[in-house]
Amino acid sequence: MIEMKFLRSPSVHHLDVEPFSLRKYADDQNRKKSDFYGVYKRPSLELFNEHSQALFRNLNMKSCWHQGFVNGVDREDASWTISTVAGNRFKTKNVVLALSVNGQLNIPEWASNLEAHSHQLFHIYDEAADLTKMKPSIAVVGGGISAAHLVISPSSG
Amino acid sequence: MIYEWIVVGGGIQGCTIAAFLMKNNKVSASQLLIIDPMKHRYTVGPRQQK
Repeated sequence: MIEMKFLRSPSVHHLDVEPFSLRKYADDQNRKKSDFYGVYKRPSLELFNEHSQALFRNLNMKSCWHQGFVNGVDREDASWTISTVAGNRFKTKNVVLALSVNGQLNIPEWASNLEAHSHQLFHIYDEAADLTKMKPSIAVVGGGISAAHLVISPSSG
Repeated sequence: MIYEWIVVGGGIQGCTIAAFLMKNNKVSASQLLIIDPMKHRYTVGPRQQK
């Protein structure tokens, strides 16, 4: 529902280890100054994505990738067994759960009841929601940066 | 085989920790697995359903 041409975080926030990796990448690629915005040098989304892809390629992360949906993490002897919906099982010494924002939207119970009775309730990460088609009045529940970002567009458009 | 590290989730956080582990020589690519419902990629923005 929300878009951004420039990321909301400064250029030192990216996927690589060195803080100035993204700035260096932009220099190496002869990117224009306009790829960074404002005092905090916020990178353009396009530059950020290119830098991420370059890192992904350089480390050959593709070779580490398994497409699957994890549905079990079990301790067995001295290792962990990770199971997927497709029935794959992988053993490992260490596990990182990096689930974060994903396809499983966290909709509170009171809201899911409302949702069932109308098509007027949306989660901010609901891809089916179209903000341009919403008619006032609109209430946003939550007062963080994404809520603020979200309300700018209907109020200015 | 037994992996050294498995990262469940290949979004921003998962890929960042994977890069951190590899670049700090904590793990080689062959001993690391990233599991994600999506096909590998790396771009920020709405995820495409498979």
